[in-house]
Amino acid sequence: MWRDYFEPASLENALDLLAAHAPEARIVAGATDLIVEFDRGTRAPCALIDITRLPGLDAITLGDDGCVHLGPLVTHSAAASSELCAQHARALVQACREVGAPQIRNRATIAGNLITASPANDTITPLMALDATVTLRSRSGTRTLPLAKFYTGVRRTLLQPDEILIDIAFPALGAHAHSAYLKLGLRRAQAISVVNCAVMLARNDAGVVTDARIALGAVAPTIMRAYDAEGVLLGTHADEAAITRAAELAGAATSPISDVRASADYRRDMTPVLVRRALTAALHNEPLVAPAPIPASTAQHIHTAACAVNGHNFAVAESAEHKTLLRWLREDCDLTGTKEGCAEGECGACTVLLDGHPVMACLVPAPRARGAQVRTIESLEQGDALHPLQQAFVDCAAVQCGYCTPGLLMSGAALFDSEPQPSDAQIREAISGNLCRCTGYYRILEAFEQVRGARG
Amino acid sequence: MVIHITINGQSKDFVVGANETLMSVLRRESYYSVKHGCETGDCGACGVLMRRLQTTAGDAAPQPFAIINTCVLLAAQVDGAEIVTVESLGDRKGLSVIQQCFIDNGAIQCGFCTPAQMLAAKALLDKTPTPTEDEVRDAISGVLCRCTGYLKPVQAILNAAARISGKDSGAPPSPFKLVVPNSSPVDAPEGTAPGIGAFRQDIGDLRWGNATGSESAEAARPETETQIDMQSKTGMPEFVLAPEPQTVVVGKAEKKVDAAKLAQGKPAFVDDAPLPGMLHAALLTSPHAHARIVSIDATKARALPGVHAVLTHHDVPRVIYASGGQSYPNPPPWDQVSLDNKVRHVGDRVAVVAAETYEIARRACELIEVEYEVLPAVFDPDEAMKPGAPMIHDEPDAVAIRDASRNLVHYVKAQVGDVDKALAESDWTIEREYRVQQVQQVSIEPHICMTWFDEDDRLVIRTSTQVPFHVRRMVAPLIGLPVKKIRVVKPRVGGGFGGKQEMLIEDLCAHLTLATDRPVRFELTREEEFTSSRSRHPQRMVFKLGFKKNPDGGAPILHALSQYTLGNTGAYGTHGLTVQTVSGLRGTAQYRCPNMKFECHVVYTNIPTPGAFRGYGAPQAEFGLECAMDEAAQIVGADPVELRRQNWVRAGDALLMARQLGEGREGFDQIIRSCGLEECFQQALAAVDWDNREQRRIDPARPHIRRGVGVAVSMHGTAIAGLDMGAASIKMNDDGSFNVLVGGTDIGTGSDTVVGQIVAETLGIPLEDVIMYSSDTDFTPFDTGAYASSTTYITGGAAKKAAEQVREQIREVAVHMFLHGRNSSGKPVQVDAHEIVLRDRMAMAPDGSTVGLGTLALFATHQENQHQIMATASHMSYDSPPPFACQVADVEVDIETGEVRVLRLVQAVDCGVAINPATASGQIEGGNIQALGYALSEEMVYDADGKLLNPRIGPYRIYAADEIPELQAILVQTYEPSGPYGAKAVAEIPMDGVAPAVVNAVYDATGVRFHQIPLTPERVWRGLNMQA
Repeated sequence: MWRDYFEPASLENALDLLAAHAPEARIVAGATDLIVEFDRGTRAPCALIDITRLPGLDAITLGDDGCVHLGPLVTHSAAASSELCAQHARALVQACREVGAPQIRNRATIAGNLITASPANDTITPLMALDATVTLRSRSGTRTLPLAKFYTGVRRTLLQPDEILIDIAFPALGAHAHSAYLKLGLRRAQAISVVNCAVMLARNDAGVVTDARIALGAVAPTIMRAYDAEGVLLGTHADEAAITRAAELAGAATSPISDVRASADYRRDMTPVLVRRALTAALHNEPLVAPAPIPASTAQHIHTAACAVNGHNFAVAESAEHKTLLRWLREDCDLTGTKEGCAEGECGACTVLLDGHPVMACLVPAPRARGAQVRTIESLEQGDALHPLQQAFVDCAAVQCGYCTPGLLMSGAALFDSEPQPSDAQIREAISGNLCRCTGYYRILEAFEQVRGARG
Repeated sequence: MVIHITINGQSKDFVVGANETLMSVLRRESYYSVKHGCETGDCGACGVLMRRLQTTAGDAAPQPFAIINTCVLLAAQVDGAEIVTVESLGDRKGLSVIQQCFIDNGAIQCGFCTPAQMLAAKALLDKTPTPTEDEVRDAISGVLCRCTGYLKPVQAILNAAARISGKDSGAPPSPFKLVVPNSSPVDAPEGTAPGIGAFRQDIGDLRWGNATGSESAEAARPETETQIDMQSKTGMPEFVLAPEPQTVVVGKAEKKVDAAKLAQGKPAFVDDAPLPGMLHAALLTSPHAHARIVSIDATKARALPGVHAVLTHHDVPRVIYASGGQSYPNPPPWDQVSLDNKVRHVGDRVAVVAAETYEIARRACELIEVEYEVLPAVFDPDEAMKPGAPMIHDEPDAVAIRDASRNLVHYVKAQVGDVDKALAESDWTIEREYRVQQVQQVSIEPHICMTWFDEDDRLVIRTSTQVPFHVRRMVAPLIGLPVKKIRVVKPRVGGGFGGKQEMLIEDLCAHLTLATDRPVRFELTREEEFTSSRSRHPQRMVFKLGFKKNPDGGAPILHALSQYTLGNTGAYGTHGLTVQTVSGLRGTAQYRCPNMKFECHVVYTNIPTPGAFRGYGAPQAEFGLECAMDEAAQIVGADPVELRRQNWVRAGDALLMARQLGEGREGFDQIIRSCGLEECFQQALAAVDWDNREQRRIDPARPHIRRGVGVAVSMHGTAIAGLDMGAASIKMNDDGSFNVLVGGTDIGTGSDTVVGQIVAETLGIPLEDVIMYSSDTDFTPFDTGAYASSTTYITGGAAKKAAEQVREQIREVAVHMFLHGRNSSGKPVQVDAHEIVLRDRMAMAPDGSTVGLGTLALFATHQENQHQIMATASHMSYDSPPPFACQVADVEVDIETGEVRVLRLVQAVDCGVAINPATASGQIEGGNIQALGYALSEEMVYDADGKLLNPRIGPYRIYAADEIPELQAILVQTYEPSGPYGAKAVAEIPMDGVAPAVVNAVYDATGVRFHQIPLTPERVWRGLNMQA
């Protein structure tokens, strides 16, 4: 795992730490990628500098410069439920909702995703189509780069070891400009893209295309723009012929590889299909379905060695410094209701609420819990009575082996805390990161419906 | 603060609180012999021997040990002292003389004060080797005993003194006299009369899913709509009325008995109770698909601080076995050893480590130096059988491999009639090849076990298993302990699905405990679950079908059916024979056909080993068969349902291949006694509006979408005929509640609940009066385990028999109580035992007077002719009554991308009487979604060197909650005369029909046939392009 775990008190402090330990240190917020990399041995142990408790870095704002700004701590969940993004960057909202499970989206930041730089990454593609820039800061200064120039190869960027990404910005789309994002995976959310595509179309009052951008993911070593395809759209009405031509050119511009998910042939052939559908979607500006609301964070920017677990303070001892939150809860707090299923954020059995948000405890460093509030399955009962959702699970026979049940209940409890009357789609999304191999989910959904009904 | 003490010869530092007693510290540090009897130094149970270490150089002789009470001593005060506890007196391999004498002299009753008494004796005998009785009494005067009256402890200490000083031969005085109780054994249980009936007349139709919405609990009540299948033409059995037309607990959606604790996250699983002093195990696995271990050096690993044991093939005995959790004798081949000098797949076991922490154990694995001679590997089973292919099992001591030089594990052939002649006679023939992939069980709880020696030096294995009794029998020879020295405990299990029908990791964990004398915890990582546990056998199949014209003008008649199966059993043969023979049985069972042949090769390759996975050969075979039937319908010009209906089996039919295709041995003839297939089809097809499917095929608004519906017949078995056995013990408590002890292994399926319902029904009590306890080899009777869809039928059958015996015992007591007026009327009632009905927690006489079961239990236990009302019964069956199902899939295909979206799955299942409709339909729902992964997305994919490319849940992909289609489970109720309360199985049949139904639906939508799963977008896209 990691070597040292630093919790700087300010951005300057973080820059100092980074400079002092570079290149053997990493800035972390969600740490959802890093823990898996450590666990699989694909990353050598290094120091972690956790900036999640620095205030003011998690804002989504519309600047005087006409740009939407995303702070480095903006999570996928925050962007997905942001009104500002829905209005000015629909493709980004769509992409954020395709990333990982809800528990991952609640922790993982967009900035972190940009730096991981996977060619199949979900959020780089829309940000590229939105013409985004990134601002990097080190002790020696600040620089701003176009995102399109930021990537130099597979998982390689221009970020220097002593730099922190402090801002993501892109021009807010006006009333006549629309964006769309589409992804083809083996299956839905948690699957890595076989191909993904984001487009932006701006048209004047006469319906003539004045600006077009097409970004493609998983079809080249880095996320790419299809400039030729963009060019043929300009000056047209984005009619079927123009869209088909653009789609063909986009397909021709790709240089995909074959891997476990798809062959190069398939990727090449799917690119025009996706581009055509994405352009059509942008043209029609298809509305978004409201995502499940995110509960208000109870995070506090305080530094203390203790973590309030289910209302009781537990010290995150030095001996727990290298544990995940999951192991700390099970081993140091003796709270064994939270289960380990995969240890890599895929199954959701370890879901707990961190400052009110469902997270995968297997991907949270235990020291991150210092100063935080954690709720586990053991806190759901109210006196002698089961939580209504627990009771509904019992009543609806939603429990088979019971191993995934605590995680499902925590995802569900958070949902009902923030939305007493969730829609069917919101329920499904809220538990989409909790895998169950026994039930087929039907009884579980029935239990949710029972609680919703009782509260209606 | 930190104190430094020498305890039992070991120098240790303990972090202690300022106010902590030495007793508290010692217990916390696992010295459990130190007992808490009081807090005031009065009882002496917390005694240990202690002496101060010498602090001045002048002292020549060491100060003697003295017994002190630790409950009144602050730990901080003993810094620098030397302490002895009973843990140091003897170990598993040998007891000290004092300990032996305490045992031999019967000095131990409850045993609570014994440790301190023995320490007091030791202090005495060290100082005074031949004490007087008074000196002995004085020495132990500080240790109170409430059981023995001190006589035998004193004798024991005197006996020990005599032995130590050589004055005594060592033979203890013999105070014991064997007394044989003069009670007659319990009468043998009545055999269950073989039923001759088929259907009860009040067959109900229970609908679940959308039809009932959230009112499912209410909907559990069977409707009484009459439904009788009159299809059979071959000697329809007589109709019988159900013996119990009305049930109170059976047939109800009772809440699962373990649901509340699981919903509360209470510690219920193996890993929820860490053991004091527990070590953590880690596994070193092979990076090569096929290699010989030229040398292996664990020196550096063993030198790593915190490492307690490193075991390689040099360190464990070479005992040949087969790991499949199956009945004795395990089906061949026996081709495994705990650790070998050869590896046969990436992920194969190389070495195992026990260390203070998991991290240290992992680091130690990396420090093991292994030199491999990499050998050519083979992954394709056809290639593996060719001359010149690498020989995977070249070891001389493997047993019963058919032809190891060709990697051929088994060759199976079974035939009825003359298939070649019948194919030549047929008016239509069709031959198709199908391929199915390797998939993994992915239970959310990985394999995990803990092993330790208990206070009787018996090895306890607490393990997440489906087969605790098989584990006990199978692990014994591997670790060199007799079965009687092993106890296997199964707590709650976080899913098995066949993956835990293995003795998979318990042997290595036990070896580590043997090596270290410490509790050891061993859990597979998720990656190891994929690479080093078990999976489903990939197969290549060839089906040949021949049909003759129907002289009556109906759909053609199946005349010949030939099935060839090439099963890939990977590196080892576990389950390889039986999974493939089940494929043969299931591929040839569901249609009437006078000429059938099954031929099969089971072959080694260098992929991780397949094993048991829900369905067990049936999902493979029924995929091939049901796709072939669909293609045949097209060729013979028949409706796909009509062709099936013309040919499917009916009640009264014999399964012609059942005797030839037993599980690892000859099977037993099978006659179908209950079959609701016709009703299943009517219900399922109506649910998807089958007749109007053509009109939905094209949606003008979405030109790239095609919609289609596909269907498949499913048929399974219920337990393994003549092989599976389960037993149950039922004991009445003196409040009228009952303990039910079964070996049947609830792994989340709800079998504890179902068995409890059967008992409650039989005894006229609510389920809440039944206390279920399952699967502990010390406490529960034998059961083969949770597999082969057997628990309701076999364990439930045993529980019903035991409950019936208990019912008779209760009636006998009730007769006596009625006669003496100890009943509700207060007047004597003369009543025959058989007239007494048990209902509502009462024994009821015909005149309406009653005796409450609680009163009756107190009477029987405490008042007259006192005895324990209790019975044990076993159950096995030569029948394996098949459940039937109609599986329908309603799909959309994106013809531009190849994406298949399943809109709806409907499965109508005849599982006999569903003892618990909620748990039964839960099986259907969960099974259907696992099966949907098989059809669409799940596949273990390897690179050219045999390395698994997707050994994680992420890239492997099992279904998440927001990806599932609409699903409807329909329970079509028949009455199975051989089953408890009419029940058959439901656990595996949901796995069998989804893949063919989806593939047939994709054909219905697109006109393109697929012969291989999973139907990934790219595979479908290629198929569509090839056609275009």
